[in-house]
Amino acid sequence: MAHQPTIVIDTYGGNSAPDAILTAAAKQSLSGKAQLLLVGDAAELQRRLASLSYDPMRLRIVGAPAPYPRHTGDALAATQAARAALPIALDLLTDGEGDVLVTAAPPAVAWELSCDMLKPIAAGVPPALASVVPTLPRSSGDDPFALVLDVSGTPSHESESLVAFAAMGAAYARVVSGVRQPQVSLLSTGLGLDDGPPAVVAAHRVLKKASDFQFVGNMRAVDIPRGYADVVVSDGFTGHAVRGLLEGLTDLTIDAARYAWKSKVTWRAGLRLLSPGVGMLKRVSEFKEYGGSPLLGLEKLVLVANPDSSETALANAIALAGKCARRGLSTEVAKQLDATQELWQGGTS
Amino acid sequence: MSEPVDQPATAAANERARPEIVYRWDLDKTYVQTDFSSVRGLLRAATEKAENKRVVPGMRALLTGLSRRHQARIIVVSGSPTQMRPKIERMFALHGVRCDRLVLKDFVGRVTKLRSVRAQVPYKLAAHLDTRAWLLERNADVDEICFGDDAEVDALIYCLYTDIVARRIDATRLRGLLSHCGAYDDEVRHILSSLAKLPRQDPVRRVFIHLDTRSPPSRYHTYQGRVTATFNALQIVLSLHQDGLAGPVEVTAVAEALVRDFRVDAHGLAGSIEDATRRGLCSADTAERVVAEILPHTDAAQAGFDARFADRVVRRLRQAPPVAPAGEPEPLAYEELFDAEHRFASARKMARKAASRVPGFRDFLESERE
Repeated sequence: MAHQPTIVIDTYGGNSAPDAILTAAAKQSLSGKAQLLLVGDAAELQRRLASLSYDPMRLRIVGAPAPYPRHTGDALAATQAARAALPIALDLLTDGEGDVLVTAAPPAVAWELSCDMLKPIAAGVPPALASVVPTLPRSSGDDPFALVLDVSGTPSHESESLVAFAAMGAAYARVVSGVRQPQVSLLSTGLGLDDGPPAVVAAHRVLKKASDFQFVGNMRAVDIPRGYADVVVSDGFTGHAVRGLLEGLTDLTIDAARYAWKSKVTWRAGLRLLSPGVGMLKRVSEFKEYGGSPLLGLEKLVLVANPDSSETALANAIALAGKCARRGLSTEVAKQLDATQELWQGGTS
Repeated sequence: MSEPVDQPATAAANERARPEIVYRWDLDKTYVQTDFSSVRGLLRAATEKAENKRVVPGMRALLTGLSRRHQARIIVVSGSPTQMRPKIERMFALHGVRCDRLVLKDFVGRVTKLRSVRAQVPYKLAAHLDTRAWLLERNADVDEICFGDDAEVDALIYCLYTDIVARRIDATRLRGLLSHCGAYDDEVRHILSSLAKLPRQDPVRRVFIHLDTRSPPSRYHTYQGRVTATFNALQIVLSLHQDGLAGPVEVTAVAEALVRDFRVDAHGLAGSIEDATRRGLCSADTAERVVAEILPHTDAAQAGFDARFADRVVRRLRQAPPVAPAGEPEPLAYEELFDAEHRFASARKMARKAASRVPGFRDFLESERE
């Protein structure tokens, strides 16, 4: 079990903290693929851990002073707990004790504290929050998800940032999805070279020269689920809006299925017949089941899970964190950013 | 009825005078890694050579260390068949373990009593009482430390053994209890007559249950603090160190075996020690001494457990919340415990089957979102 990655886990994050994340971590400790450092109220965690199967050789607790919020869904309490515990978790990363952080804290708090406490992976490169979205099968591989970044909600980015995001996204697709030559696209209003705002047009001119990944040009939002690219690059504000819309559509579909189930016996029978397919559809389209959104561009990786994440989703996030650390995602991102610098030196004409 | 087949494992066994402590061990899943859940595992256990037997990580170093300590005896009571005796004795010889008494189950003698083939409680209880009598022929009153695992009902058997030797359970209740556990009348008679030969004593100081199948530690909360649930050999040796039954040599041997033979790293050692401290298996002071004064000077240092790492672990141990002292143990409801153990075993079997099942669509549709 030597040389395993160490995953730091914030047990305060999420609307069902600490039970969902603790159960997920206990289960993952039995897989033996990573060392887990749980940051939380040690006495409380130990009390709850006693009724779970776990492996103490792979699961350790780092005490944090804050009590767990009493009422789930209390946004203020969740934010206060995150502000007390996340600095301890991030310290473990900066001290070199941990390789990756998994948190289901409110995304805005996780973003703010991570960007404050962790150094950027390269000077002048802003971090980007990435999110996976399901697509139709793509030519590049088996991964049913494409990566959209940045989805942080940050209002605008320069063309340099968009190019850096493309490099980081390509590195992620190569390391995590196993795509050797990822297809990268810029989100814009049209497919032409001059379509979109000036930053997108300028980034397009630079990315055309990329050789480490395949730049496939601009893409409209409607094309994202069609699977035309492995990585879709946008500014943080637009990306956030796109992700929100996709999540809303997924919720609508699920609500419609529930309505149909309760409305008519014949519809219920039909859904029963379709159940394997609909179940599969739910697993790929339910954002709460994905695991975590990687926060790229910092010296250490942070995975931000949806606060509504189920135990399964959090277990997926922990497994994904282990995979990223084992495959050296941060190193690959830094390497890809270095390579992209050369594109700028070649000019933007 | 077929009695447990009991014979001295070494010629020197009887020569040892006045042992201070007896270590009573189970074999399968406590010392040797065996898989009884598949036919393949059973065949493997029966046919593999002594030198190929896989030992539970760290247990070889622990048992070897304990058997080398002065005035200690090792008794092994196993549900393995008597035909395995040469292999088991050879395995212990290869491991450098001195086994004073090895008791195995005579399956051939039980062939007409199918319930007796499977039932562990009557067989092991009889074996423990008989070996206790064997000990008393040599010493007046000897304390015992028991080792078992969570795969069967070892905790219940050891607690029952403790209570009947201490006469906290009378013969009438014991008779009913044994019937509840599937004992035949002749087995009950044998147990009662063995017990009658023993004086009233309270010899068992601790019962260690190795969580081989990764049961949650809370499974043993119903035993009211009489059972010490441990995840690995390091936690056992820490607890023995706390009780003055293992010294730095044994702690070092177990830690080094885990590092050298099972590739456990510094985090693995630290995690086990921290967990043991949080669960009250040893005090924070004992853990601190082991972390700061012993482990950095062993092979564990090569696995990352150097002085700097030890400092960090000590800081964490000092932050750990104090452990509440255990209350006075109350009488155990053995019939209920026995039924609960069986329910747990069935539930675990079903959970294993269900683990591969895809979450149901119906559950999803019928769940209300908040």
